[in-house]
Amino acid sequence: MTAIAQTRPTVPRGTAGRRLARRSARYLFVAPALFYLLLLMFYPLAYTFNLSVFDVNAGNFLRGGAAFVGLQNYLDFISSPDFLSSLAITLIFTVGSLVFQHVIGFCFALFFNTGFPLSGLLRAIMMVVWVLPAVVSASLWRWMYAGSYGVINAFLGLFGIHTTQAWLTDPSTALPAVIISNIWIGIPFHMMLVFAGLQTIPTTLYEAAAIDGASAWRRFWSITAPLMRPVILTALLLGFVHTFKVFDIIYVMTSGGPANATNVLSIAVYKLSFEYFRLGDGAAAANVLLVIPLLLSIVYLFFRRREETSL
Amino acid sequence: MSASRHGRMRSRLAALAVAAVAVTGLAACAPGGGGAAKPSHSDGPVKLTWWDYYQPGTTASDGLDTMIKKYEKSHPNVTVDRQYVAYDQLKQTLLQSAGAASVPDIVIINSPDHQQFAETGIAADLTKQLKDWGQLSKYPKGLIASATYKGKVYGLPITANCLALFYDKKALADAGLKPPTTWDELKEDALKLKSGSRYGLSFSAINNQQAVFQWLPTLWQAGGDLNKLTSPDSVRALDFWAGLVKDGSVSKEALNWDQTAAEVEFAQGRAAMMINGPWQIPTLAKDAPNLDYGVALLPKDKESASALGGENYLITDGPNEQASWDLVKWLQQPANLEYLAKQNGSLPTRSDTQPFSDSDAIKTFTKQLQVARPRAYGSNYAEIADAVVIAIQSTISGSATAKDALDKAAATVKPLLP
Repeated sequence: MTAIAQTRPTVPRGTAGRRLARRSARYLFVAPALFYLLLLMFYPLAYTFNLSVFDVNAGNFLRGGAAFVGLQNYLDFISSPDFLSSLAITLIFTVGSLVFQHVIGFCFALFFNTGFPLSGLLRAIMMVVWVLPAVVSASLWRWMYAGSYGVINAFLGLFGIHTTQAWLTDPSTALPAVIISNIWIGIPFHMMLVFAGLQTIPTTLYEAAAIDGASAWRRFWSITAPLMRPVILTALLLGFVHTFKVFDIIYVMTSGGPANATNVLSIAVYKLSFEYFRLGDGAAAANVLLVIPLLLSIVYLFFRRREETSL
Repeated sequence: MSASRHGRMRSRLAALAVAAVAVTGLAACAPGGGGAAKPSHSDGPVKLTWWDYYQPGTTASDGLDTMIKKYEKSHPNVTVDRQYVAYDQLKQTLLQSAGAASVPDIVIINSPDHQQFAETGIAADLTKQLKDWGQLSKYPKGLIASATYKGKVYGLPITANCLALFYDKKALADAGLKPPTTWDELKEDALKLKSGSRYGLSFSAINNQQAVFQWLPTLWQAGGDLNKLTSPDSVRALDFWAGLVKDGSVSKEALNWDQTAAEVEFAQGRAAMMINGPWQIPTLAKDAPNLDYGVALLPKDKESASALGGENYLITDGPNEQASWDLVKWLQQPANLEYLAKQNGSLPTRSDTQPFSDSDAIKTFTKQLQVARPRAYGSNYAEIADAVVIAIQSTISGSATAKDALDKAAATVKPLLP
């Protein structure tokens, strides 16, 4: 920026027309990005917000004439009896998934980082889980959790635990069951991010520490952990945002049931908009769903900035 | 940074703000209102778009293809573009395409959704055409009621069905039983029929509208209804259903079974009886050709009742309304209707048609149909049904008593009823 400002006086001054052309050229360069942002990011957001302050429903979505209700839709959603339970379920689902995904993913990354033979191939195979369409994985898990013919109960039977527990249809086990499936799906993502981060740590650091007599435990806490902090934070943030709005896995496995036991916010939003056609309420609910990851992203950016300036 | 630079920055920010306001300006008006154009009839070539959720490869889907081809042959100016849309995406896709003003001309929809779509204004009001046609009296009232919204008729039925009790003849004979006719008999028999890995009964209590469809007969038999969920009769109806699961007569997995899954249990011999509809008859013939089964009327309590189901044609309000109506009218001709009913496993939708007249199962279903009631609970039915499903599921799974669950559901349902 400063460089441009310094060179500016040396640019020969032309006629007014040329100046205009030069000035508009500047805007032309920004135009594609601006256009993209406005059309694909800003417009949907603005549209959703606009929708959320009107009482839009099946009767007036096409005909028009929805009444302006201000923030009433938001108040209705937040004060509805199911909101707090849905929020709690979403948070349990997100945090429960994230902690295990990350810890297990981290362990796998450390393991693969030792570079044993065929580790590259095995790593690639692990990625298959992440690449599989969510609908496929979820259907698979749904089948595995079945009570009378599910492979999980058959496996438990090998250890003498004979049960016909239908994991997904019991309100007390449905949420843990869905979380476990989601952990399985998310491990490769965390593994890859952490693995990439581990690769950037110079081996000389470990060599020096080893010469100084640091144990493996000590090397992990004094070298790996602090140097991996930005990667860990990024992975957790991305994971949080992604998990907080997970829809497909739960929709396929339980559709929010049994008896609302897995009714995360995204399912509630979907039902409001596309099953009940209460589009105004649905848009308000979608914005509420957006706010929490957004706040977290702001906190993250704030910490990143502070960290960068302190460097 | 120089002062002039500051100025430029400001002007740039201003430009951005102007652009932003322009975009919001576009949206800052009451949403919606982009309805379809009014009908303008022409005799030139017409291309009709048709949506349904009959899975390709099924007899129902093949039947439609055959009829459409036949129609195209006799009406060379009409071509029909038939598209498959999965059932659980149909409502959403239809609404979204309506928002983009590109709806199909004819849609087959599940009858309880019809009023909701009539409310959106997508559906063409056919009251006048039906009057000119003069054949409405040949249709059972309940079927037409499902396509009626605020006194106007928005479609015609393509299929009709209701629920009855399927039973495995051999299993019942082995246990020395006859098909149950009362709740008490059903309860006892279902328990007696349970042996080994076989349950006494299967039904669907899944987390969607199908569970409500399956439970409604029991609710009505007890003398309850969705508009009096807190009444002792309604509570008794839910207790009875949940009791069947608690006894072990019905598998707990019923909470995850749709009606197709309930049929699979019966077809595979994992349930001796099932509550299901006539559309399973062609499926059973395919899944379990050697199964010797019978169909009995649903056991009764205070009264006998069944739930009326079916699908309707919905014609959208648009330029092809007349051409679409001509096609639907043609499909309603008794011979064409009978053919489709056979392909669909549907009960007769018109008094002058008699598909499957030779089958005992269909005879029982046709008798059951006389006490079948429509789910005419207005345009909020989807949301009402969801609240009821939660009550059903929490009672069956034991996380709430029938009374508490229904009290909670009633609070949600009450303001949604018409």
